[in-house]
Amino acid sequence: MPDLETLKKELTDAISRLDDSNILSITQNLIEQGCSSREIEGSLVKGIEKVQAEFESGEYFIADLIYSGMLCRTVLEFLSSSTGKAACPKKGRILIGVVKNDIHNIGKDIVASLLASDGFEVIDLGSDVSSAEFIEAIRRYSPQIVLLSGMMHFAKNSMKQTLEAIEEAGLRHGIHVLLGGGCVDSDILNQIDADDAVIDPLDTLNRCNHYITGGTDEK
Amino acid sequence: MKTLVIGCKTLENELLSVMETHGSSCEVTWIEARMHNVKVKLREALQKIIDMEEGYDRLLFATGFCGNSISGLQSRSVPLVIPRVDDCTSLLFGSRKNKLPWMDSYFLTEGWLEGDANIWNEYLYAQKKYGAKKAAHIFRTIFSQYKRILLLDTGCYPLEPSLKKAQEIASAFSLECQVHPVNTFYLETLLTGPWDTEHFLTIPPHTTITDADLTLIY
Repeated sequence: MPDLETLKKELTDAISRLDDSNILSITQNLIEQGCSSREIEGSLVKGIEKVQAEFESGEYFIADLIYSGMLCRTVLEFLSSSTGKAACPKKGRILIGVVKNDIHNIGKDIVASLLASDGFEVIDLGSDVSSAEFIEAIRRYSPQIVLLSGMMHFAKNSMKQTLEAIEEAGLRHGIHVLLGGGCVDSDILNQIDADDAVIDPLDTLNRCNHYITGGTDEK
Repeated sequence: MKTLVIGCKTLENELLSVMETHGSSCEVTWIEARMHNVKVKLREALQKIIDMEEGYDRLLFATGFCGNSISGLQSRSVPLVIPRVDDCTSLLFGSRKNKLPWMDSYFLTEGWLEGDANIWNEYLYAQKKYGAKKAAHIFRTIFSQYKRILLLDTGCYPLEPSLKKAQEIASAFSLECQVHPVNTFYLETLLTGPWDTEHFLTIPPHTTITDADLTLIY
């Protein structure tokens, strides 16, 4: 059997080639060789990053981006069932949603799958989520982390309004608010008083673990 | 005054129609629709055009803010005039507010249907690459946020052929299909001026556009 590093690379390559023929057998081999869930997730994210690069260069299309997300979900669900993480007590509760007037949900869906696979309880509010819906969900689920996602330029405004509404409702204390998605840039935390801004799925996973468990960042 | 218009290719019918109506002799440089997929590339392409502004007195953007692609652009020796809309569909609706009731719609015009990055070509590509079953799954995901295909009737292209194609797409993905009238008033004002601050962002020479500049017309 190939060694661990070779198998991890094979998984990354399979995702980047959008080839589903061996992804579960490679994942099974990785599990049998004692590879951690986090390392497997890291290989998946590297694959997605390559798909993203191909998309940006014009080699891949939106359908390929979506399909890479589907492949990752397939591996993550297999990983959860194989490692029993799904049955374990959850390590924290995360609320995630694409903010008001934005409907770009591809990245949000991938992040939600990744977080769920890592043992978080993820409440996915979907897209075009209003401030009122976030507030209602915070009251109902008492999450430790709220992830606001957005793609379009105006999503920043929706993020700001959502955060202000959360503060006005007196719900800001005790939760960590993270911003993610295509609208996030290096300046966003100067404009919006969130706890953090995340740049990609693996960064999101690391930051969530950091805030909930106090664990160290792996990136 | 010599003006260069930077036009999104998806708006070609509408922009050319407005130019013809107003007897405009502005030069136009076109941005391909697929540039929208990557905001950094779109920004680079726009900056490259701005950097080659020689011989013009102003640059008019027949685009929207298009993601974050406008933020960070730097004007050179002439001003830039940019509509205060999030994307080119809002240009046709007149504002983002007018578009909001239709956010559960996938917008099409002839320009989008014939563009290099149109959704039907992507579907055919996916069918060929992944097979019919997987392609259907992928596109159910893509269209999961939408209830209908909304064909925007701008009055600048023959409706029937595009309606037929829109109906075919709607049928393939179990969506409703509807025609909705929009207009080119915003584009006309872009060409003719005046550019009031409510509807247009005017960037003076030698200025970098920041996020703070990018407030939208509601």
